[in-house]
Amino acid sequence: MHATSFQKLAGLAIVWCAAILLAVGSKSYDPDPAPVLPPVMVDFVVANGGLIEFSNGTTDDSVNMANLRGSFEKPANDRITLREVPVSFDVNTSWAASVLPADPDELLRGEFSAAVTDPLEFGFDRQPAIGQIRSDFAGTSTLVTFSATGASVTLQIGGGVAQTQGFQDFRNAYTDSNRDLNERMASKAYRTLENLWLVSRISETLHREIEQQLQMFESVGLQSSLELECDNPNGTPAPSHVMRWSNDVSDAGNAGNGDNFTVNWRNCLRNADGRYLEADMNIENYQLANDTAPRMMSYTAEALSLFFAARELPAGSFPDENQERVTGRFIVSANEQ
Amino acid sequence: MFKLSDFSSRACRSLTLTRHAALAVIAGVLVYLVGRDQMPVLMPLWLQTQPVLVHLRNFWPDFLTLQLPSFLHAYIILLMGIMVCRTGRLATVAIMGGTVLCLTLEFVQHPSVSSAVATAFVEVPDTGMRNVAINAVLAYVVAGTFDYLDLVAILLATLLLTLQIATSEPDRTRSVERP
Repeated sequence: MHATSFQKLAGLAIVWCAAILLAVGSKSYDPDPAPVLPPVMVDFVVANGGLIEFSNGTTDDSVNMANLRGSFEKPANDRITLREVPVSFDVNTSWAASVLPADPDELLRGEFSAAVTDPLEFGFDRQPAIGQIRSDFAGTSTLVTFSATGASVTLQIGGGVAQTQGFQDFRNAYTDSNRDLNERMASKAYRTLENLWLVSRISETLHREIEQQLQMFESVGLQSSLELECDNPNGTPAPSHVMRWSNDVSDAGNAGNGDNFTVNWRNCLRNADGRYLEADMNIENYQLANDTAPRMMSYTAEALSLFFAARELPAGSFPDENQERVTGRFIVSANEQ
Repeated sequence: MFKLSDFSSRACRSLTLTRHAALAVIAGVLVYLVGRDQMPVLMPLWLQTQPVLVHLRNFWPDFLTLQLPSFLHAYIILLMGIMVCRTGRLATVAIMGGTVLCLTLEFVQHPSVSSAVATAFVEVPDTGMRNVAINAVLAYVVAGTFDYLDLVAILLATLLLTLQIATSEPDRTRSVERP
């Protein structure tokens, strides 16, 4: 029996609906590929807009007077890279902290200030090799020089005799109540820099995420909150990215200079970067990155809670819950050369 | 000699249609599994990370992807339409309507159109599926790419199928004899 015209039309409608679903469902999440960009050096500054605190549930560290200045080489065709490029900190980097008596024992307390005196590099799973930092505590300066192999450091306390010890030994020295207090504080200063380095990578990540979402929302006229999937379409728990204007200074619904946003991210960055990002943040005075080199971008971020996995995670795994969460206010700016 | 007026009265052999459709679908699936840099939103993670697919992606030449997905998508849709509406005016509707649909799906990604489409979607009332729909639409429309070569690929698919029909033997068991 031949199909009637109505049945054929119904079949045709099903085929066309399938065409729409196929077209939309086969779309990949990431936006258009970036235009061809040469490799560039990026200079960045993460300045302290207030107290930055690191907490892993058992210990709390707070940092003030942080002025992270560094640079990294962005590979070709990268807008914002989260890949395993080393980040070098130059001699303009300085930071300070107040060490509480309970962290990690009653003996280690007081305020220190520190600075990079010879540029050093950090990376994920890459400890500093070459470079030097100085920590100042109670009127005594301690120089920490990192060996070229990264296996050992040389300590010179108050201009005294230089001592060599293993890198991990120095890194954990702040927990040893039998060690010299200046040595422990230098160790503490280094561990603080490790956390601050993470903040610099976090801010790079944040900027990339914000830029991607803003490119998607441009001219849509988003005035109310909108929950979107961030780049983890198959994640558990369900990924989400909620971004909303809190103060649209530049133009109604369009991202522009001076705008403020609030962002809430859950379980993001798993698909494209193999990381884990969870954050509740206020972004203020966002400055758009221009499309042509040299690109400049900046914003002020207040992290109400920020959790960022420092290392790539296999699919389906979750980060160590003991890794620090960051709260506080920091100002980010970056310039390409 | 092929006459345009004879177009509606011709039909492909069902076996040829099915074979062509199967080949096109296999080719399309292969392109999306191994030929694209970014995985489709609906593709499960376990499938994306299969070692054989990861290995094949390393050897897949980029030039084989380009506009091929747009061509295959249009070709498959037109084929399926002809398999449903093989003769008469509906066959013409299947080809023309399918082509217009594919071209529309490409045009909605144009920057001058995509914003308006996305804005309209943001305003729809929440019926429980709003977020899912908005995610899908925004990912496709706003983050999509409008490429003139994709339009060419769609028109080439239409042309190829039209030529296939025009050069094929009519289905003698089902052809409509004009008085």
